[in-house]
Amino acid sequence: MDNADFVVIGSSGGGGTISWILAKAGFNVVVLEQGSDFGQPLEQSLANPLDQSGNLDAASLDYNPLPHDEYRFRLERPDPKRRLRGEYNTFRRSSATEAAPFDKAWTASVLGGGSVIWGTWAFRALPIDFCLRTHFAATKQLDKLEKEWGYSIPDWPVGYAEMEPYYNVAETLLAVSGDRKAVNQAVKQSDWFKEFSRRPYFKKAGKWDPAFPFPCPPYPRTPVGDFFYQGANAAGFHPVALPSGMVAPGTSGYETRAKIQTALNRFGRPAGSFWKRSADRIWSDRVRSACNMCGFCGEYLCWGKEGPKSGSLSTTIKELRDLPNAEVRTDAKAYEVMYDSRTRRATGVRYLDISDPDKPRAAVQKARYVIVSCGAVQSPRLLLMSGPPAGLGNGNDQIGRYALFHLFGLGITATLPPRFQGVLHGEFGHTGNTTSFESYFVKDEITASDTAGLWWKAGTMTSTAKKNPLENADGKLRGKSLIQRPLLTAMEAYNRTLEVRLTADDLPMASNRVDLDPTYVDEYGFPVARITRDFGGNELLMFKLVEAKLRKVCDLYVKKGILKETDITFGQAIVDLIGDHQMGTCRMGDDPTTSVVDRNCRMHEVPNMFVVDTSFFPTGFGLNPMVTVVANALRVGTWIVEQSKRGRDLS
Amino acid sequence: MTPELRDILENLAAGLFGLDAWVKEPTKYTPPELPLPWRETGHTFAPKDLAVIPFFENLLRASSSDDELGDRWSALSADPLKFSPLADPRAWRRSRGLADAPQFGVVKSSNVWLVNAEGHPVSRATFYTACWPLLKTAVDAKKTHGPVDWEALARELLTNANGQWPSTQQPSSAAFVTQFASDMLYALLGMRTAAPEPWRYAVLIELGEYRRAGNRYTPQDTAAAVTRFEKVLGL
Repeated sequence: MDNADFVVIGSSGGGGTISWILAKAGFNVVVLEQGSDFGQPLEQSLANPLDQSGNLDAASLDYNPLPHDEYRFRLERPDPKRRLRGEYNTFRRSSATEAAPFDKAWTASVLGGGSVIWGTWAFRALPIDFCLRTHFAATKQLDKLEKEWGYSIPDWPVGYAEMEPYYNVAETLLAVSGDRKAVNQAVKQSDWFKEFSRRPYFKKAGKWDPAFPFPCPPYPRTPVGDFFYQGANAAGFHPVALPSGMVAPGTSGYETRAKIQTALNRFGRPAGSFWKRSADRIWSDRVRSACNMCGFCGEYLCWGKEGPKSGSLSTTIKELRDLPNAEVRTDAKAYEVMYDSRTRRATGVRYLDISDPDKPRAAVQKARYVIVSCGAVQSPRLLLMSGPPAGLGNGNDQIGRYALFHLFGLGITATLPPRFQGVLHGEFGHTGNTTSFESYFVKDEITASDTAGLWWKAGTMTSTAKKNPLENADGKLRGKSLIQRPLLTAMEAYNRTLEVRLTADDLPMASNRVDLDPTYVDEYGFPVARITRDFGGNELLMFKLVEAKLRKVCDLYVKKGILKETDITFGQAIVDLIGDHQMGTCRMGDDPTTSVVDRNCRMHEVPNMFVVDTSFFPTGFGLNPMVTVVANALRVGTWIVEQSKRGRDLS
Repeated sequence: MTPELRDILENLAAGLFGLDAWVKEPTKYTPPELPLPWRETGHTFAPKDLAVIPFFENLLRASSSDDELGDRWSALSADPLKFSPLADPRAWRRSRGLADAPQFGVVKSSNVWLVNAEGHPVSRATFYTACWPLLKTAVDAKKTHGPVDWEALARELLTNANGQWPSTQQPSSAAFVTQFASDMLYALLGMRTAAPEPWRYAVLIELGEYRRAGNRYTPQDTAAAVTRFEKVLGL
């Protein structure tokens, strides 16, 4: 395809979803993905499922255990699924210091991107997430947050009501398993909800008890999930099954088309002609397999004939590949969005074909529109490498600012006594299992400062299994020089250990940003992304406030004499522990001087360009962003289709 | 790899973990699975039961191409813009206010596994080749005093305290034994050696770890596990 309507850079939840809806609507679409299609050779091996003796190996018909390799997926360096070889980022805590190369802030480099190796924690945002500014203004905390602590907390230009129909579709495409009524109840029974629910803006924020049922029943509860469930229940925290982007185990498979039909007919269609179609004009008759709880999901590749783990590869990209007007190019590393300064339009993308990384081949894809979806670290990097010296669309120095990464590392770790050896079964299913919203806002009941008595933003608590015994043992060997019995003791303890993690907001600050490192370059001589990040007042306060809350989950077990306080350790977030929850950096907003994209994710300064990965997030929620980024890609795609139907040139 | 070196490595692996003493501890967790042949009377449980050395030799062969990548990284360290597709990458950098002297920082970022003394990424095979003569010397010196205490030797190597392995030598004995123990852990816990079942999973079984390549479970399995867990909890 020499001249496409759309070239989409990146194939994860944002790029993989919007490319599907645009192609399905009839546009010519080219998707450029820097990573390889890891699934293809595995699917080919499934097509010939003979064992070494030449007999039919029935066990491998649906699932391929080749990726069940902890070394390859957790320890090997370079890690081919997390970044291209020769890629890395640099990090510093302050603009006053020099950044140094580090091994974090990875960007998935496989077809399907981060949606292939995500943990499947499939939340939709809560209505309050879209209007935090309004909230903190009403509670009179905004001055503290912005003037004293230096945050910039905007409301989203779109609200929950506008997102809701797309959330319904996103959850349907992702086959989210869960119990909606229980989730609604858990939210409404939380102390913070009771505190705020009578306020008018809070009620107006959106529907707090959505009726749309999750399309799959709840994921089965595991012992690790049960530990949290029982403990949180005793603490009054209203735990529920974690909504998960997996075809529920024990079901007969997942017919996406039928689920779409039900969703649209019973719960309303998103506005726009695209959604007036019948379900058979939206989706194929493909049936996805149920999860077999093999346990190799988070950060592993779940491959089968019809992947049970949801992500763009098992959903929209699979559909996209059926279409004659769409093309997916893997091993295509974009390095410049071509720009015509006279017309202020992007004209295409320059990229390297790195199918042989030793012999990269420069190539060009021209297009009428360019959609960037490389993740909130790599998208600003690409934009800053493109266009005028200051970067493409960066006339107001906004690209890369307000970077958000969630508070990874924040949580408690509990090690049960030896009689629990072999009882926790961390190998069942995905990493998380049960969750609670009780900590979405946390009241300061422990300090004597001006923050006391007020509610501060945090996030969701989730039970987390320890699933990687090799990675743990290797870490103890390398990090603590353990061998012999001390190493075996640590390996035994790991089997009895679990975590309660807090997926919590880090609020946006302009000084937390991604830009081009002035010194360090990648394998092909391009500047790597430099990340500047520090914690602000809300995060530092959060570390104090949440420890007691998290420890309460274990009170039941301490009272029963199962755990001692010393068996429970609290971990603060680690400032450079930057994982896959990357947000901000191309903020969405109505004001071009303080944001990069408008409410439809179109760049203010380059009207034929869009940014649809998590970069557009004005704030980061206290939960996994995947469902929101998929829902938003559907929303933006629908808008583009409608504008086009009305004959409007988007530029 | 010579038979003598294989023998040394098998014994060193045994000394690194002390598996036999571990499974024979009277208070140790007893897995419910049967049979547990490595626990049978008269058997000394050791890493060689899991065919770790053939696995290790395969690992050396499989990662030998890392040397070529190391050479490429070294070329980039000398000339970081060597493989740029841009017509004039230095002018491009100047126009964007970037430094005149770029650096290739992949080694500093820890995105490579093994490096030599000069910080040059190397393959496993190259890394270990420098270690074998020193290890043999250290073992031969021990043999002159009688049977080798492999656990003591492992500790000496880990703490750079072996007199036959000079502390100025690169790789250090600690770097060697840490890498070797890491590769042995992959063999013991990675489920990919040629040992037959249940031997291949022996260490995982003794740990109470049920993770297996090709696992599959049903909701009934998890429900039964939760029931058992709650019973142990006393709920």
